[in-house]
Amino acid sequence: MRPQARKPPGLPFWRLPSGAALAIEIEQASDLELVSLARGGDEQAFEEIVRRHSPRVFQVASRFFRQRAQVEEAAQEAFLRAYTQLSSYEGRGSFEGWLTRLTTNLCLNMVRSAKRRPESTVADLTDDESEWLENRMADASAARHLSSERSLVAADLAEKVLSLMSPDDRLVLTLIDGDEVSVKEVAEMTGWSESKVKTQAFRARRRMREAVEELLKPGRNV
Amino acid sequence: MRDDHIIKMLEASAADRLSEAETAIIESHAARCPECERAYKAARISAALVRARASETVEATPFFKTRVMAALKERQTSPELPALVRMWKAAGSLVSVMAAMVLILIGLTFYTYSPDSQADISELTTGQSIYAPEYILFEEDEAVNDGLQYDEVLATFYEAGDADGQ
Repeated sequence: MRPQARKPPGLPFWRLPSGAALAIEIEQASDLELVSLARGGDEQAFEEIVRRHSPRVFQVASRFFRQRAQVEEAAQEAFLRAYTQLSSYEGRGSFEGWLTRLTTNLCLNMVRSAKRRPESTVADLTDDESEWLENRMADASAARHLSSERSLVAADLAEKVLSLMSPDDRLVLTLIDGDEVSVKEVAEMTGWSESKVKTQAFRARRRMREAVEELLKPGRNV
Repeated sequence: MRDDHIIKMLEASAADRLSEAETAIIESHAARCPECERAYKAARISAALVRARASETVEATPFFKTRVMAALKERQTSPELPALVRMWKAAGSLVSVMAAMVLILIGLTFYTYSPDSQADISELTTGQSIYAPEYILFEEDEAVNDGLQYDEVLATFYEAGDADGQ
């Protein structure tokens, strides 16, 4: 482990690990070792934590926010909080799980405190989005196979519909139905009970379906 | 006619993850029920939208690590406010309002002070009510009633009562 390598008692200076060797050691250190070092104020160890877990933190934050600036802000705040709360990580579960939970709760609170869109109307839909809906109405079975351009239109439309829903609904839908995360994993991420996750998913699907039905009403010209 | 069983199936899982058996049941019912058909289409579209949204993930830039470390250093170097200052910032306005209320109540207490209220206080200490007939007759304005003896007053008092009774 690195602390022994950095502070070898009695070792002469020419036998101390070089900078390159330290970097390799850091990269090979386990999460628990890195956390232990970062707690002691080792910035390189924390930097490695950020490098290693950025993809996961960004993935979670992307479920809540779509703009790069917002996602980066949430991810940065998650790492800063993680740094100040490292002492609360007891090493029982995986560090990634702990960090995921912290990020999820942080993002949930950020979305909850943000002002929600009052309502969405068909006037908010672009021509592309209306066309996408028309096509899906005609052939709903094609919905899974979308070109990248069509996917972008669908993602824009999804964002509009999801923004009408509560942060909790949005979270369970994107995780369970979008990312195919299990109920148990969502419960671990959020700290909710599994039954709460299931109930939330049921209700979220209903609300999402009703919102889409509203968009599909004949009077909406879709 | 709308079938709650179909609707529950649509809410139990994403429409694009229904089993073949479930899909067959739903589609056969939807073929003769416009309401359930609409719900089924909406559920499938919802599932497609959610998948499209979930497929989007913002990736970290190579500079993100540097940005976080810079923000961390900034926070570490910025002077940490004492706990009392932080508390005051958080609850200062509430404490100010509460203090103002207390001052107003104290002011009202002294403003409404009167001799009667002092008498009320002495009543509490002596155990004699200032509203009792005996107090009014014998204690209050003693200087005016000095000429009367207690028994004379009582005789007058009870005679008047007997006269009323008759």
